[in-house]
Amino acid sequence: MSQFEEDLRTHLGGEAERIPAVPRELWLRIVEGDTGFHVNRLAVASAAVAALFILGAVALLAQPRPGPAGGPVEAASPRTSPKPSPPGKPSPAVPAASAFSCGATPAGGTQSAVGNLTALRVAHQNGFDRVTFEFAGAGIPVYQVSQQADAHFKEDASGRDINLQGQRGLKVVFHGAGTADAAGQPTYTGGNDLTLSPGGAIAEVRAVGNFERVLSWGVGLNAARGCLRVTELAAPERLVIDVQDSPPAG
Amino acid sequence: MGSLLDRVRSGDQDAFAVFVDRYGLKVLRIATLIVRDPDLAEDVCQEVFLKGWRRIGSLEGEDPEAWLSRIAANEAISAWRRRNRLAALRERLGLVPRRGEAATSDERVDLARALDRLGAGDRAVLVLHYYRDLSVEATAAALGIPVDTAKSRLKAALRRLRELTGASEGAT
Repeated sequence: MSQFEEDLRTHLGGEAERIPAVPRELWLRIVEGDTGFHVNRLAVASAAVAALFILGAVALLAQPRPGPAGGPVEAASPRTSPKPSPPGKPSPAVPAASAFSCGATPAGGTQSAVGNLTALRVAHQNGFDRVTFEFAGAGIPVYQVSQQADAHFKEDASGRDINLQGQRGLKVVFHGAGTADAAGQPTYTGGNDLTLSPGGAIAEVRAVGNFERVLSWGVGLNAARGCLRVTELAAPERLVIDVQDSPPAG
Repeated sequence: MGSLLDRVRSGDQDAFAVFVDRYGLKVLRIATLIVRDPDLAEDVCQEVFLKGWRRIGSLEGEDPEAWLSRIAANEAISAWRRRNRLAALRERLGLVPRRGEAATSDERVDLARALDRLGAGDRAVLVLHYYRDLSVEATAAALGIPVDTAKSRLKAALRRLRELTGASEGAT
């Protein structure tokens, strides 16, 4: 090894040693945010890249050279503006925990929103399980959550039978949603079949359709009844579905 | 160690905290060396453990540190490239002023600044080989690139560092 390479090795070691520990805030973000509301600037950046890519394409088509700074800025979606809070700080979790609703079939989203899935997280929480769908784009795509008395699903559009673990099921359908950006690059590279350890309300979460901008996920439930709490969060756009562990009898 | 991994696999949050305690600093250091930005490195570190937590079931027989280092290196490269794409787009759209040109070839810089001027892919090769002490073959495997590519990338990165710092080629 040359002296230069030795110097490089020493230098890299020295740079590394200058980081004495994992900052407490980061540790908390990892450990306490790992299974719940994980706010990640990388996902935000990906969303911003996607939004800017679209903006850029529009701007470049309309005008061969970038115009004065004022033009494109006005065209920018407010959602792509810097967040008011410092990046990387945990965003508010579920605002003032709303009540669970048994048998609920929530629906919502933004009518004009077109979003691409960037992350899916499933986790046990205290008293409930949480599944979080995260999107790049301005607004959560229009969605419907339906409940079913079994965990059998039909794949969209093949019609193939998909049997999930669990006794009941939820089907979550997003319209105007996909898993790839305008350039065809995947925005979601996570698993399409997530199985949770036993004991919670959710047994399995699996992709059951991704066809013509309709994105469907099946959720297999252990719970005897599907008592849900659904929350929409922004920056980044997330749909959070909580399923209660031990719903009230009746 | 097996029992800790088993507990992490089973979703034990306390075990996961111990896991982060044990490997967090190593991951953060690798990420920092590659992305050269403390905030971005923290994001990478967070993402590495999120991915690690999701994929812990696939960790069979491999040293967790090596496994996490591999995820960290690749995640760092991706994060750095994403950020650069975003910066380039913002410049192109006129949302931010264009960055100044890089230093001229006549300007000599220290090793830290020279490293700043490499791409993340080149830095990842250097970090895994010289900081993590991986062989070229192991470095290539960690980054998912052919061994010949790792060798040529290593050679080119060293040559670029020598140019930037003014070190002589034959310095031994």
